Amino acid sequence: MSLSARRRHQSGGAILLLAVWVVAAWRVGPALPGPVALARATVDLYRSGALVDALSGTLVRVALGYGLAVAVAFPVGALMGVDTRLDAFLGTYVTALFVTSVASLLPFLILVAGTGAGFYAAVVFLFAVFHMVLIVRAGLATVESGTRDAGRVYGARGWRAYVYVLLPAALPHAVAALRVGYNRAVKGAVVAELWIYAGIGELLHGYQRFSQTSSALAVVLHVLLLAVVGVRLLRVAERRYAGWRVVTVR
Amino acid sequence: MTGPGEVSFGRLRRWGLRLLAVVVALGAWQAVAATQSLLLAPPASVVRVLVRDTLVTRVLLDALLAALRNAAVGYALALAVGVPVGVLVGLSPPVRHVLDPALDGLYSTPMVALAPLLVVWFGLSPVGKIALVFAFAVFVVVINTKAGLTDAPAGLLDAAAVYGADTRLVRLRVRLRHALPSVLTGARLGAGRAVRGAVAAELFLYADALGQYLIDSGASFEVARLLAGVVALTLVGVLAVGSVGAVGRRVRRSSS
Repeated sequence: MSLSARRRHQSGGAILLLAVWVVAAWRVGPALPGPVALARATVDLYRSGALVDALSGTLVRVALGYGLAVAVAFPVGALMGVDTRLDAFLGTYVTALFVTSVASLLPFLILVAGTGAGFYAAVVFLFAVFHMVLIVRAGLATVESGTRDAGRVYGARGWRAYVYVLLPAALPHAVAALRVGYNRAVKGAVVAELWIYAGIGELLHGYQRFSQTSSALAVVLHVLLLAVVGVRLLRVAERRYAGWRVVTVR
Repeated sequence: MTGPGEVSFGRLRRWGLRLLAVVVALGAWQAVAATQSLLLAPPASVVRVLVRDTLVTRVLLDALLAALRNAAVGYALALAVGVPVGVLVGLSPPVRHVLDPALDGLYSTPMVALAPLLVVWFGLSPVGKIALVFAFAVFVVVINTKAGLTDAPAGLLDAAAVYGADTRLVRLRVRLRHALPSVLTGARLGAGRAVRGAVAAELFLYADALGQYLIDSGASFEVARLLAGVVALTLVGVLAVGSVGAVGRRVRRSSS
């Protein structure tokens, strides 16, 4: 399939989707804003500065919790990946908390952490950390024995086996963990902000109250952008630095 | 290779370590709860409340069942829409070119941000909750279905051709058969996301029985009740994913 055919399909599809959107918005009425109403709302949001303030706040909260999650998940996941005893021991906690619905912990976390920065950090951390631990763990635990053997033949024993063979072999999983973790972190930040009506959450609740669907939709689209741009950038890094081993994370 | 004796020793040790992990966690929980009695309830009282509210008064059980009803309807819709769309996207390159970027983006979007819009669109009705469950679950179904269809190895199709199966219909059947495990993975992951979506709907759309249970427990500092709700939800989630997984394994076995 040539590139031009792909582009042709994409532009055709975009026009079609746009037409469907316009017709649907026209039929439904004010509840579903059309492209023009959405663009106008977006411009207003930028002009008032509310969106930029909220998004930068969200980004800071994501960064704090995500940073914490990375700092914990990489060493813990690495230990679990190389040591079966630690894997059995720590894995019990990780899987138990992995399946726990973090959203259902919100009323509890607010009791423990209050409504300050600690609350956001805790929610974002809990959303991101367990996925990352499991991916990093899988990266080290699934290094093929052939790779290990080849390393041993070339003299990589003891700590050298870790530094020169196992850790580089797990690099693709490490980058995948960063990507999935970032995505989870954004979800956590949005959940936390909706819960205590701050930042993005405050904006969305406000627009809901007065049924300003075009403004609400504009905010949702920016949340989407925040998630997608980060994931895309990390996927580029993945292809650049870890392209030799495709990691499917599901 | 390890012999059967060594395998069972390794298993024994693994289960021993898991048990140890549980004991350590319960001990630490008990110790913290003893000093922080306002913020954390000891494990025994969480279990007591869990048993009371699910088996005796059934407040929690009824709340869970009500939430699961929304989850089930939303999940069924997600499968009914997600699998055909995934097949279409997987089989048709033009459709894939148009929808792939959108699917990819929507898959990583925090769907909970839609909650305030759903309230505007559907009011305080179960339809909004079902819509949120659908939005949580559908994209993982579509993406896994599509992936199963697009990564059918050329060797498999060549083999089918060698055996005389060069008609389009048979090639299609080979690809669909190859996609089955991936579709089932999507269904299993979708079940987990549907339960999460139902929880999010309870907390962020309007609080029905379950949302009320969690929020009231928190607001009145009844931590044992709150944690009992969290534990019950975790069990429900594991059960949902596990049972869809079991159905999937049975389907795969009977079709192989």
